Amino acid sequence: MSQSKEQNQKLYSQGAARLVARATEHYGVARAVLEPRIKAAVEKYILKYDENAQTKTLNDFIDSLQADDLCLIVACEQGNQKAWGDLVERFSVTVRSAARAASFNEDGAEDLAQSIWAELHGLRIREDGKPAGKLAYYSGRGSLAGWLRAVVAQLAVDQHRKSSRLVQTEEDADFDRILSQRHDENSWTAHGVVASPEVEVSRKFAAADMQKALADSIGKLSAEDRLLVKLYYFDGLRLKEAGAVLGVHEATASRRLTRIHGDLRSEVEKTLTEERGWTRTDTEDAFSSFALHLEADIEPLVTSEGVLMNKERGSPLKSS
Amino acid sequence: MKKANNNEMDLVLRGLAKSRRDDSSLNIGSSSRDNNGESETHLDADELNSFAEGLVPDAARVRYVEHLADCLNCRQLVVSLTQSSGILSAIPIADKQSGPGFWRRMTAMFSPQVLRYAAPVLVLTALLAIGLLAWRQQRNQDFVAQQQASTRETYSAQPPTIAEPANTTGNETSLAPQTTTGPISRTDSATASNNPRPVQGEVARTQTDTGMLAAAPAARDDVAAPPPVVLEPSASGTKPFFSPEPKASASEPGRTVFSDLKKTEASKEEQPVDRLVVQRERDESALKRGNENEYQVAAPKVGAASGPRRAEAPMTESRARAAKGKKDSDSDEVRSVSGKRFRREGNVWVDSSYASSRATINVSRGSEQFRALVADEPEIRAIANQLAGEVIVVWKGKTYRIR
Repeated sequence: MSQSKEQNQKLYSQGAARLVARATEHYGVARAVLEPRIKAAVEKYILKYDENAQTKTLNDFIDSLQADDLCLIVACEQGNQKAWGDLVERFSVTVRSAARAASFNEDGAEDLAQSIWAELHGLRIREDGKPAGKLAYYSGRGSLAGWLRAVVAQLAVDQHRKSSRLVQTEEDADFDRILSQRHDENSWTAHGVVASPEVEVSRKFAAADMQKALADSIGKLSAEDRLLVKLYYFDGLRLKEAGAVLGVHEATASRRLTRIHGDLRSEVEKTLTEERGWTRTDTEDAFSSFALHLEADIEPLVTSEGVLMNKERGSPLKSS
Repeated sequence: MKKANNNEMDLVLRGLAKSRRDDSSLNIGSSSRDNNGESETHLDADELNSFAEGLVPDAARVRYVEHLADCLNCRQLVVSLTQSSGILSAIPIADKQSGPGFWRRMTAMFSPQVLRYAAPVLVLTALLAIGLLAWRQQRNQDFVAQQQASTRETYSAQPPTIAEPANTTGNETSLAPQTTTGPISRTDSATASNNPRPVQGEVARTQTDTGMLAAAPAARDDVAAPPPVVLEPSASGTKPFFSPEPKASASEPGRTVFSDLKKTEASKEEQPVDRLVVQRERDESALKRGNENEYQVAAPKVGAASGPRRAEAPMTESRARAAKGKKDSDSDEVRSVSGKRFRREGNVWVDSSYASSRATINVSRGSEQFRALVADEPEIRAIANQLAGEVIVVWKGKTYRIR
């Protein structure tokens, strides 16, 4: 059952009353002040994606907002000195901790932590005469401590970007590019194997085909699966950490990853056979060959040149 | 084969990631978007935090996941927030996506793969349960038999006024109780066989022990079967599946089967058994006083039922004393910090409101996560400072294990 604007407004008003009642310390925040915050949060998280959300959904959402934290932040925004004092007292350690985690040194962390309070309060003045700080963006959905950590992390990234732009020279960028290119060239060739120029060229073509097919296949995965692949392979997270980001246990993440391997392999084989004209044997040999090369990168002592060359025999690296 | 394929794909993906990790300009798996998500709005701090804490509604979550899959910056922020929020170890195994429907769960439960292992386990469990039950029954029988022996010895000192001849037929002897005018009334064999009042857990016994037959003829004639046990005549030929196997071909009327070993044990336990007999007499006289008319009906049941209980009484007392002593020693290991009670279990201080079924968040002392936690919750700092070693504390609905 969809809600009209008037009905929604009534819902926000009632929700604000319940929220004030739930808060252990509401700092005298009026219900009317909370209503627009609740409305903004509901629109941001629910109505933006489902305009016809049910009354129960909206009520459940409002009732799950962090009443204490939201009242504290709104009171700070209203200029309540006691609320500011409480905010600094309760969360200064959290902010310092987050700043230390996001900074390279203690001085930088201290500067970052100090600048957070200014950012929260706001250095500019809004049309209504009140400071335009970041406090206005806290919806009460997550914990205030977590939100402060996120604000600190974002501010650290912004500051790092600014300083990087100032510091990085053209020579550094060129050096990075060269390093990247060298790394790229080496990563898909066998470790310690000196192949003939023909084999090397054909292998590079095959590797390029497979890379492209694999990249396209990853792009065709669902968003959840793609995120898991990015977190695990590209960001270097452990399964437990990647699972935590997705809100699943590592065992579940492991099962999903196994399924994704199968999906990706099928998709890559399909792409290579249908678009590149490879045979099924070619694709299987290519997988084995690349896997062996990469394994050789990890364990160079295990692999000998002869074994490697035998494995390559009959693969698209030679035939293509 | 499939596993080998997966391993190959794993290695290929690692290789791709390795070659592309440092090259952020390449666009892996995000065909239509900028890898850094510049083409669309980044998630703000509120959205990042809500996602990291798992509080985003489903519809919004889909959009956030899509963005995070393609935006390295936001992804890194979410990862760091997830790690610092302490939910890393609080993810339950059974997440919602693994089993959405009832039928799917049921299908999985009764799938051949599960049944293949579950069926033998169930059969084994059933066999064990039956074995345990039979063993317990046998123990009860042995105990009652011991009581019978001791009671018989006690009663043999009193001259019976009526002594019926034992109903002996060859080797097979009826175990029917014999009537005497002794302290306890008894039913004769005919009454017993016509109106058996079997007490639950008691079975008919066939007297087959030749040694006993020779050793106790006087007792056989003069002393009838004890009152608590109403035994079915063995002539019926029926025998419960859990009754003990006869040891020899000889039999003796009015007596329960005892091996020599049991007799030795009975003589060893003469003192406790005497106490039991005295206690039984006390009970019986009380019963007589209370309900003289019904005594004949009630006596066997009371005797049979109270025997084991009485035997357990000293054990129960000792257990209670041990438990009390333990409780006293435990009370020294209980402390209250910040309004919460903790008891010491080994090297761990456990919150009294902790339930072992709850998921715990592991936090190491001195870690970043610990600092953040105590920064947010100063009371936990007080608890961690006052209680050395490992502490399990339940705080605001979450359970933390501080190591």
